[in-house]
Amino acid sequence: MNNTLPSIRNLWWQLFLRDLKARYKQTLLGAVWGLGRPLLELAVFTVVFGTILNAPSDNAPYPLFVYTGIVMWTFVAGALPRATESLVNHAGLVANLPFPKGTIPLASVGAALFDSLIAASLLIVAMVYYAAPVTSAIVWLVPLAIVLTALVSATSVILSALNVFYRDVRHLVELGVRVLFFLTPVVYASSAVPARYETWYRLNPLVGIFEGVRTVLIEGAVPQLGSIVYPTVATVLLSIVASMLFVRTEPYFAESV
Amino acid sequence: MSTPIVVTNLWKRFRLRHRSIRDLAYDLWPRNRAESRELRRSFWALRDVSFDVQSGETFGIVGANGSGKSTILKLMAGIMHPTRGQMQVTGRVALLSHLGAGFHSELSGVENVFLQGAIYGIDKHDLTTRLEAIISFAECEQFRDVPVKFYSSGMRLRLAFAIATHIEPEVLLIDEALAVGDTAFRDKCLDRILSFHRAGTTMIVVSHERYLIEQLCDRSILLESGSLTREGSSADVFVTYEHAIQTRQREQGMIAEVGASPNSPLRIDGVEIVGTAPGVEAVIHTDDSLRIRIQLTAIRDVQSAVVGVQVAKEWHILHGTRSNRQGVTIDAVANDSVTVEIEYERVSLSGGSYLLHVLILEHPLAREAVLRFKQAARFRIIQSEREGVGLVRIPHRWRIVR
Repeated sequence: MNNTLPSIRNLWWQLFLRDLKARYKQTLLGAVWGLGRPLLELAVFTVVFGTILNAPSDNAPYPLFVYTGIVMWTFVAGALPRATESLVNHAGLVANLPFPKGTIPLASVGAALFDSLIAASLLIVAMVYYAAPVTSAIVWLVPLAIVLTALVSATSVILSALNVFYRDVRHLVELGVRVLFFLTPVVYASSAVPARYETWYRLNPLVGIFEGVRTVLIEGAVPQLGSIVYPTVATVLLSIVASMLFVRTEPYFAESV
Repeated sequence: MSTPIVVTNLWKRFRLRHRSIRDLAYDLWPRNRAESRELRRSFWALRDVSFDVQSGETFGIVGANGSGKSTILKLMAGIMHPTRGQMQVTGRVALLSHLGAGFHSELSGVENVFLQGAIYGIDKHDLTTRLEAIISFAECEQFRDVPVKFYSSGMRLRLAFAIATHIEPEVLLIDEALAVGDTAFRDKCLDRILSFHRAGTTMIVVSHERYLIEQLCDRSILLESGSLTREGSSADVFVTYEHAIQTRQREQGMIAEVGASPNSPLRIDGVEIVGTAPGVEAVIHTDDSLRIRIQLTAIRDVQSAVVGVQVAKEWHILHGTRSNRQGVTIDAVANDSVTVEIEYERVSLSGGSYLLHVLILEHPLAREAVLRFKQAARFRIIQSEREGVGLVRIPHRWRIVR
């Protein structure tokens, strides 16, 4: 009855606004918090990983290098846990009203993307400061951003549906995100990974995407096609799994949530 | 005439346990059968229910708590899906149940209207045109921009009801929604529901209130433990329902099957409406007299015991009287039989079905009865429409004075 595309979009938008408003209402600084967190992380990571541990950054200025990682990581780490719990947190809605439930985890992903975009505004400042070359390769950001968003969305949808039935998922995600932080080139360059682990390391589709974005933003070059083919294929497969799983489990959310 | 709701052989099963990774492990490798079965414990909330509702009809669902009424509504609203069977519901559905459950407490009233509207699939433009009507129906003009967490529970209810009924539902499902709020709000809601009724909206009403079901619903069904046991006119279905309740109360010992109790000095052997065979509902006209004969046996010696009789309609006691108030008390020795009679000279009640409860009190000053024989007899009053409607019959004459 309310499954037409415009009404789903409107619903997603309302849920997204609800997520943002609820988070920033009754805070003095409001959306400024969206900047405070990445800045703090920038400072800590630069000191700890850049200066103390001397993490490799492929010769890029470490603050610029790590901040591109932080912007993307803000999205990944913001979306996954929040989306996982989203259906359970909206139990009142899920159990009492008929509507396409997929909009709920996707609205959480949207809110995390919003945070990440706020953080990205400072990235422009950093790029100007470090005189990063801006070339026509910048258009590659669009497909990379789409793949990253789709990858995180598909994973979020799968996790949120599973969490309705198995609440253990929430704990696993919490733990998984922490582990993933170290298995993704956020604070170090992936070139530092020993060759014999590389195949395993690259199973994480985030690796290729992070590398690609850095190539575009820091070197102003076109990303290596080889490194983004696998993340794209993985995203497509995960999206298929996500939609199949969600369609099959959605009818049982109301009684299990 | 179209049939917006068609329910065919509907079954619904619920799992009774929350699942965890452990269950998943058992799902995949069922090592221990007993434990696996325990995890799969389930319960059928609906068993093979079929009915259909015509367009514009108001349909009642009656049944005890846990009989599956709310489950049916949730299935119709598309919130849950049937385990087996078919269910077809055409048109925009609004479910009035758990009003306000979807509100976000940090958001203002207006923001919540837009959120709920989006959930019902109304676009923003449409909603903007209805916003004022919703806010004014909910009587929260002053608080429209205040977060809902500062609303009183009544305001929340009003707002939720206003939203659900302003989306122009084609099928309205009402789940005890009127059992909440103050009387003014109830009246307002009832008015609005009656206006849907008149406008020909298809409605399904779940309620324990006989008045509501009989007033609103053309047809009803009775659910007992998930099975449909009766379908027909609302009045008939309600009679069956009340009968089922009485049977259960009797089985649970809440109603004395016989008029005896260990504490009571007197046993009630029979309560009879004079002129009617025992166990049959007596039928009298309003303003007729009514004579009730109560046969008692003394279990032990007793002095100045008191008999009381109450006339009731459903749960309401309409009239009660004790024999001692007119100087009648019972003195008896064990095994004596005593027959007491009470005569109502004129029963000025309006049409309907009434119950008689008989009470025994140890003594004129006793506060509590030692024996309550509930629903000892029943009678039905018939009256012509010229006598008016309501609970009691007040004799009256109409005339034009000028």
